[in-house]
Amino acid sequence: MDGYCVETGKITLGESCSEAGWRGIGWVGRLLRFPGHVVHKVLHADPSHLITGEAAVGKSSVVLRFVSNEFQANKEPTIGAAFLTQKCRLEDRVLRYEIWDTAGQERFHSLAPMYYRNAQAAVVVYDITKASSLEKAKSWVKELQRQANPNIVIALAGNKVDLVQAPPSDGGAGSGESEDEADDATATPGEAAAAPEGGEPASLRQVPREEAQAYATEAGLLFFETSAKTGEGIVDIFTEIAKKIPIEHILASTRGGAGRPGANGARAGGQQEGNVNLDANANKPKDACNC
Amino acid sequence: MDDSHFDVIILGTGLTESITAAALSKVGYKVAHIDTNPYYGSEDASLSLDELIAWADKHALNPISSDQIKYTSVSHSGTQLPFARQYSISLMPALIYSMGPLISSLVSSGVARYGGYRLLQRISIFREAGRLASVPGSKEDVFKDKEISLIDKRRLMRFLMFAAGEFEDKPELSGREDMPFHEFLQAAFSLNNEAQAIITYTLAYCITPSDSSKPALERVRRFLRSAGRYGPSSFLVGHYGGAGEIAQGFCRTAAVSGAVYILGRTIISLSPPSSADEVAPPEPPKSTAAFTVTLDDFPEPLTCDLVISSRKHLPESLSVQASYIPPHNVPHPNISVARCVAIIDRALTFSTSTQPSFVDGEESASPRPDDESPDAAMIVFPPSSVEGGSNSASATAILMGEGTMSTPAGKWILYLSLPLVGGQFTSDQSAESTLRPYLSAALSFGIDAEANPLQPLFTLFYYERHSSITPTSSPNASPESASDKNVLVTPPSDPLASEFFDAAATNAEATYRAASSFLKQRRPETASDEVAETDSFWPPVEQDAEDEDEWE
Repeated sequence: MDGYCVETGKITLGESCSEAGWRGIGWVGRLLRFPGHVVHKVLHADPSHLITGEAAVGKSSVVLRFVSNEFQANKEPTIGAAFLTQKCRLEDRVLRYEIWDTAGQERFHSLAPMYYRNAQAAVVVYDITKASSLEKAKSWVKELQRQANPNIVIALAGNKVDLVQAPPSDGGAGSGESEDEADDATATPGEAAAAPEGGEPASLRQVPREEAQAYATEAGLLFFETSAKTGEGIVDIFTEIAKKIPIEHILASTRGGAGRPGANGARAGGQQEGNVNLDANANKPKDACNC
Repeated sequence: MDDSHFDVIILGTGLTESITAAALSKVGYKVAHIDTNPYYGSEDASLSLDELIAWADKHALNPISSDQIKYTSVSHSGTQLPFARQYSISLMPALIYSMGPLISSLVSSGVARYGGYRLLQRISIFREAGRLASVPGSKEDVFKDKEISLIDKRRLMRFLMFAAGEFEDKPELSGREDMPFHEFLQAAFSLNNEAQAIITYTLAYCITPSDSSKPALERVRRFLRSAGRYGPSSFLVGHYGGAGEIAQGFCRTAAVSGAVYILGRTIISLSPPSSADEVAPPEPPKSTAAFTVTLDDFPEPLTCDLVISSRKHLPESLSVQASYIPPHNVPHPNISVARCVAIIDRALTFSTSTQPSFVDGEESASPRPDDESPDAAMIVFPPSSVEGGSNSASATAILMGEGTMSTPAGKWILYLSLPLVGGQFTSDQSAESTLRPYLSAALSFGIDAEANPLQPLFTLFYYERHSSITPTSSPNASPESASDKNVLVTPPSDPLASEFFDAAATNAEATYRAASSFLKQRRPETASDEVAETDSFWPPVEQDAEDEDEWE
């Protein structure tokens, strides 16, 4: 069981892992650099090894925070500067997250349906210092509820809470951005980093906590206020999502051949029901075809 | 400003354009990728059932016969089905060879990980008697096949050995390169009619019996060499409709490398360089963009140095100066096809009832249920095999079920496609009447169909016309240097299921090379700085070694 899912951590393997695994979409990270901007992450969990994660985050700071602070970091994000996997311990299980960065494709509402496929969990992030970002977040929630797996767990996160908390220690303006490293892999052109200059911290808040909480309750979402800068709330999102995902159910259905009677995977070696891992072979020397 | 300036603007998100976008972004060029459709994939898209119906309704108004319009004679049964969103119906149903340019690109670019794939479980050939025979795709299969006589087996084996090897200089082929393939099989290997049909249509994927021998042999070799890489079948099918989903994967890779995606906006104007620019001295001012693109409902115009467009997306105003990249290794760039999409709620059975299991001790004595009513399978109809069907061309039916993630449970999509060659079907015959005989033939294999005929829940028929007008580089333009070719049009793709994917990958590589040679010339200093210098189509992908170790 462990065997093939290790492989699938690297690539979606159809029903063996991606189907039964879980994904989420989150709108994290870029907020820190571009106020009011929304970024999506997709999480994956591999139930056969509890949870698999892969991440395509670029270097976005929320995920960095998630990865490097509370969990063991994969120092080198893997492919194309945008793949990140992360383990997380929840009670007696190790969950492995797969996080996909939407890489700006959401910006002009051009998010590919592939992001929604089989998503088991999603994080939608808005910027508490920008009211319009909550409106945008709401429209993404609607989109998710319409397009994604009906059992998707959605968490709403109001980010940048550090900006409205007591004394901002150093240079208020770019504080939200400061901890974010160069993010050119996912930087979106045309997005000005127009952080408000100076100003009373409390007045920066444009979305009252209660308002967002009320919306989240009504829409059936998990709700958090977070700061990628300080780390506040970030781990909670991932932990709460993990608690809410029906892992047992997913596990059971994977073992039962993804619930398809008469079609149980008779194939061994990391392939289930005729699904194929293209990469598995690519790593073998026999692959002479990489011209 | 700088944020709205791009090295390249690519119009259309078909597979060829999407692969091109990923390749250009990965080496560091700034790419904006635009599609006027609200979905990814353009003409290769995977659509949900309601999107497909909207697509069909939009094209239903097209005049029935026209060489200019791509989709004609579009008709569908009106009913909407439950779970419409759970269908991923491909406008370009196709199969992926396990060895070939597309697989190479999927793996080398890292896009493979974004999608799921499964093996095609079964290829069967339709026999005149209205029954199916499974296709021996390997020497092993030939051995096991009980319907082939011993002497034919020997001949067939000899042929398979020949075709899998380096046959170019072999005496069997010399002087017969252009011979019609079936004649070649007869002349060089004394193969009987049945073996000829199987080889010609299900290993070589010839359209007609007179396709020439050498390219056909090359296709047989590709088929044979693909077998065994990922499993017994030579073909893979992509989840969620295949082409459209794979195009999305390449777009995602492009986006990760910084490409900007804008879908569903009308192009209001795409202004070519003003005449002043053309007169300008040879050292072009670096900051002056060649093109300005204005989009509907979009804040500011985008500018770029190079436009790459699919044929469908190419604005009229640019067609004169455009340079059309010629297709390479695209066997049928301009062939038109009749297509049908049918949704059924009963599996087709592929069991060959005439095959008693007298194989001694082999596990094939109890075939897996999977193989009898597979989720990913193909039926090939040779010419003249179906009454009322084509006398000159072979048709295919591809079946995709829940296992391909493209249908809800208990539903299957049947894709029929017939290349329009030989002039048998006049353009005033509807696509539906052209394909009905094939649909009936395919549905007759529905489980329990004799007692209870299988009726499709939904059908869509249409002609997909590929204009044979291929403007070579604009005639009035003098032989130009690459630096003048700032409008590139991607080569036409191949609409046949067996050829589409590899043709798209090959086309994309040609487009990528043309584009990067233009961009390098234009900006030599940045080319060496920002743009990774590489001769390979895909820069090497870092392997995720650490990760694997941890989880071993």
